[in-house]
Amino acid sequence: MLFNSLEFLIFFIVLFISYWHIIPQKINTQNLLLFFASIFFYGFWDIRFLGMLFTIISIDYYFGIKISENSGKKALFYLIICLINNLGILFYFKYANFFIQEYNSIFNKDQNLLNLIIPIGISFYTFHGISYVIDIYRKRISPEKNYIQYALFVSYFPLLVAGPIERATHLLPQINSLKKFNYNQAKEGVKLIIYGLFKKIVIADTIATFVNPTFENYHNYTAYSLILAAIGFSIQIYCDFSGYSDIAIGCSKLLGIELLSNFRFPYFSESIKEFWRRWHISLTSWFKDYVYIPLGGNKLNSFLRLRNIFIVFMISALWHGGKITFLIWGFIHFIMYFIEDVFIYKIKIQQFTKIQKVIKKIFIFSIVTIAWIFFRSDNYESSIGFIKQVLLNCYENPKNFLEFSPNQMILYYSLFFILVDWVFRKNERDLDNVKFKYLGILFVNLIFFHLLSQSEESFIYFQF
Amino acid sequence: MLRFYKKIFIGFIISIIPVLLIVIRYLIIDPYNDLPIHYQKDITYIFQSLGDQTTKKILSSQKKINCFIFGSSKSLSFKAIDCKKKLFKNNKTLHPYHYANWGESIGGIYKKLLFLNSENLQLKYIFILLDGNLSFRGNGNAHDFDHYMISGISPISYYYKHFSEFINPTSYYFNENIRILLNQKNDASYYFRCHFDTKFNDLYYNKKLIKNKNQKKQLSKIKNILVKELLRNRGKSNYFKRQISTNEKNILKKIKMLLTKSNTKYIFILTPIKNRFKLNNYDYEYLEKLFPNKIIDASGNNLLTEKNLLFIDNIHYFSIINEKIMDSVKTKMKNEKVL
Repeated sequence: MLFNSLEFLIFFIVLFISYWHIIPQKINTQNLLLFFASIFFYGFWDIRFLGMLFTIISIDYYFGIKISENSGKKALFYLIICLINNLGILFYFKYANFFIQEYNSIFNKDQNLLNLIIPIGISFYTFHGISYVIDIYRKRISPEKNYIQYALFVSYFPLLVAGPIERATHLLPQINSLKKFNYNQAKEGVKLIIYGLFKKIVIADTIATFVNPTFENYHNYTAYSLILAAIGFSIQIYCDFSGYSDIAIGCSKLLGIELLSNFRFPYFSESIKEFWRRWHISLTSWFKDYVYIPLGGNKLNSFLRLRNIFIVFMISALWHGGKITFLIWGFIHFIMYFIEDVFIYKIKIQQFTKIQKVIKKIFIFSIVTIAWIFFRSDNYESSIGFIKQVLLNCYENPKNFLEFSPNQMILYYSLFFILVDWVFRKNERDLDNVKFKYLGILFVNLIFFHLLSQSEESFIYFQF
Repeated sequence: MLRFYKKIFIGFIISIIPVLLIVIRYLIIDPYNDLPIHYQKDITYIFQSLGDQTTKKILSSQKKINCFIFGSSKSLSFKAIDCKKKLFKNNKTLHPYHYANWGESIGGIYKKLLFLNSENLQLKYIFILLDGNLSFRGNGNAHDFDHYMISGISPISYYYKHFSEFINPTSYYFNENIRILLNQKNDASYYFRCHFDTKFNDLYYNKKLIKNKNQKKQLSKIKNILVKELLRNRGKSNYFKRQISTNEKNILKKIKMLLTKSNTKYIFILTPIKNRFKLNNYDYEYLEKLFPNKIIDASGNNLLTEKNLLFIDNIHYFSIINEKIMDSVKTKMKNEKVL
């Protein structure tokens, strides 16, 4: 069930009315309803996915209690067993075929690929579970004894398939308390839903109709069309993913639950470091807390610290899937991080002029866009082919390339969105400070028109 | 809570007003001629589908039509009016009609035959122009942009599809569509290269398309081509891969059954393509076996296709080619009493 579908609208209206008006306003009944709604939401894709979800929930629930009941080496033993289970399942579904392919190509074998259906959102809910058991081991939280409440923490439908990746320390206390309707919170939720739908339906899906064929048949396009398609993809993936997060956070607000923020205008960053503080925040902070800090964090010398950052970028790349192109994407970001860390920040420039700041923003956006080419391409050959096509043909006269209708559309939609995001950026998502009343009406109208004229598209991050 | 619902309701109403206004304006303009009162109207905008319009015209006709020409846009130069004059010597009881569709498939032709049958139209004479590159595409389905009585989709989906296509910002004609809505001058009005006649549903290309002297010379030379050259045996040529699928074989058999049952006189014509590709021998033999003596093959290497300038683009050709094909039909009619 997609957030941008009619089924979801009906599902959510029924849930909202039942949640606030029909069921008794008690913690258990509220949680039970949310739990069943989440199961229905997930099972709507494929009922078989529920088996995997409950397996992971049950493993983490059981080991969470076991870890808390023991201490020292025994607790560590239970933690390791639990992590092996979680990561084993994740590796099997996401990387088994990748390793078989690599094995076949290196040893020139013809091993059959596994016929696997990857459960949607497995990377997200596995990470929920892992953070939960590690937090118990670190004595940050006590285990949740109520199975339904724990299951709801992992399977809570707004964040089940594409995050934000929540922490037990943040979400479980909210689940364990009575949810009360708050007008301002609900209003904020509606605004976020509208803005999220605008980003997904109006911007991302429209740009996708032009960007997808360009990436698939890059041979047939001019250098400038390809550059525009790469920029278009940068906007598309941001609107697609942050649109999803906004809708998830908005829906959750309507149900009286606050979720972690996932994006803070990443394309206006002035460095890669800042970009990663603003892009997919919940995953970045997850890696920081559960990979980077355990490896030594900032306390180590420069070499070891950069080694740890390299490890985090590579794991982050692999988290998206077993593809060389993801690793290259992660590596480009690491290289930029490395250059910034070793060279640029050594130069003490106290104040940048406005123009310098804009140039920095454009530069960072360009680097991120180049990295997205690898992320978007089906394989290594296509990504190199795409870049070659740009470099070999960039001497062509760009005069007429904007006469090509798809290029116009990518440009108009991208510029429109950048302008809107720039307006919102000034207020750091405090949508009350923006003239949202008028913008909201414009957004809703645009959403209606695009919904009426386009088929609903899945979210890019569902594949991870 | 009540305040929240009130705000949501007011916001929804305000937001829906522009959508409603556009829907009303769209219904007034009816750019796809979807309302039955507009069925007989000629094509006004270039995005209007040929097959869609032709079905609408049949629905509003007086059911006299009894001779049909099927095919893709290539068939448009095989004029219904010429059929009447050349093949049937202006016989007053015969009413030919050009029932083509862009990129027509064999499944589309079959669905149209079924539709004509269900509408109790007499199938006296049928000319089916098949394209090696278009008619057989595996699934044997009609186009989904065809009229709902042909494509089989529900009328509501059909009307909705038109509306959603009209307001689709990614549509090629979106800017023009906005101008149409605003009642401004637009490039989507009037089919820029040709015009239709309403009686036979024939389409005429603009003569301005003949650009240079060489082209004119070629056109005059073709007048001297002997019809027998066109009807010669299948010579050496490039061939398409085998393409008639099991589904399409079944459709062809059903077409034969239907035409036999309706006592229809018919002929299949394999149209020429600029790249001179022919239907695969296996497929050709299958057609020949199923419809013995009913096939004229004008594709491949022949005196028509070697004159590149007779082609408007890689697919379409000037009507003079079809005039020659029509001559060959006439000869076949005489010699073998096919029709």
